Amino acid sequence: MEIEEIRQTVFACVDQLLQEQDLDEVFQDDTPLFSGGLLDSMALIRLVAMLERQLDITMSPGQVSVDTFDTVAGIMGAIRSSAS
Amino acid sequence: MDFDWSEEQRLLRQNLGRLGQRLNAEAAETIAPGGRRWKMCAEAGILSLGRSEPGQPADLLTAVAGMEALAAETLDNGLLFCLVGQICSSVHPVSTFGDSAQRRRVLEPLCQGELVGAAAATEADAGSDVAAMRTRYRRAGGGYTLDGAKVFVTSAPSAGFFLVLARDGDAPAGQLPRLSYFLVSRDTPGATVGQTYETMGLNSAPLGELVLDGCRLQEDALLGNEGAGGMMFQSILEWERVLLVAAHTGTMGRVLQQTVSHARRRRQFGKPLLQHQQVGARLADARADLEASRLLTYHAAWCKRRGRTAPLEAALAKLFASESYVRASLSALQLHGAMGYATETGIEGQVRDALASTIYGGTSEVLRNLIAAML
Repeated sequence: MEIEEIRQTVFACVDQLLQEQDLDEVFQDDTPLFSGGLLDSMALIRLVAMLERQLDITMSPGQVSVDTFDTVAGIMGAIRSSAS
Repeated sequence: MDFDWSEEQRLLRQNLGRLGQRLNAEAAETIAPGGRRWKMCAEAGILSLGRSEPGQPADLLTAVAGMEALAAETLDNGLLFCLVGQICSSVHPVSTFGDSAQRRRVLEPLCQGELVGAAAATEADAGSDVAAMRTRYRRAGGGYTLDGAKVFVTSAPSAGFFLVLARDGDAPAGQLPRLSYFLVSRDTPGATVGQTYETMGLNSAPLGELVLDGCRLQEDALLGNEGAGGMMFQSILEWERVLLVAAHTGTMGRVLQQTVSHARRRRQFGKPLLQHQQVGARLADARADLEASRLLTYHAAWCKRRGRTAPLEAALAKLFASESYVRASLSALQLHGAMGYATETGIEGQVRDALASTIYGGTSEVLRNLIAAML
């Protein structure tokens, strides 16, 4: 899968989680999702499960934290690490 | 999904079923390292079911296959509870997230039954709500200091080390907590096993409190990456939920078989109990519950292949199978009549054991909330 396609998937998953919380938030690659209070710990777990299924990858729990997953850019970095 | 067990899994089930029968012949004892029954389990390889090679996920489906077969034979639900705790909350996380030194230090003794590990996550005001956790760590002098108290820690009175979940005490307030896991040896200054708990069932499983008061740890006590404790906790929980209900399905099968035999043997009003419509219907429901529990459990374990996250599947299996387990145990008591209520048949003890299952590993109420949030 191309990088841009992965990025679009990440954006779509985050957007779905925000929509479910009735948040019509516009977010960018560097918008703080967790430290900014947009998403909670349950959303983090769901986001990992969604990404694993949609991208057919496995994220090691050791690579996932509210720090590494705080922004779309961070999530992209974690996905790259999981693939390497 | 292939519903046939592999040759290796079939053999494991056969061996652990036989182990269950041998365990029943041994005198009951509280779980402790070096205890005879604990050693028998270790020798049969059951404590290694959560073990994996570095960088490889352990095989939860095989662990489920073995645990179900053991539970179908052994009568000691407290032992099963402790085994699941050791596999999911000690062997699995150290094996999966530990570095080579940590694996060397504790993994072999854990798998050999020489060391009991205990997961210390629950607090008086924070059960499944880890965001409310008060136990804190602070970086100090090249290591860490832990302060807080953990309650209802399975195997705490027997444990040689604890897997402690704590929040970053230096993180700004109001944000999601940064959680980390630490390996804490029982003899670490500042770590004390406090109160022990008497419970209505699971009598061979000791439960206790862990108090951390200025507990100083070296840097190498950190398990996995700092701040990754939240997802590690989730991984441990998913393993635990699925393996607990694997044990419950095994026990349910045994209890149902025992009740059906009784209902075939005992005659009332000129015919066996089983031919009385209300009895037959209740047992038919119990069988449907058992099969549905099995499928949910196998499916959740299958979803965890390759080490993936399966929060919904694990929660569904735990919710349905634990509630089915309670229903099956109550049906056994009811259909055995006065003999079920008498202590000598062991069925009232089975009910007392089963009642804990909708509480530990996430209460039914918490699981319904989780599932609702994932709809």
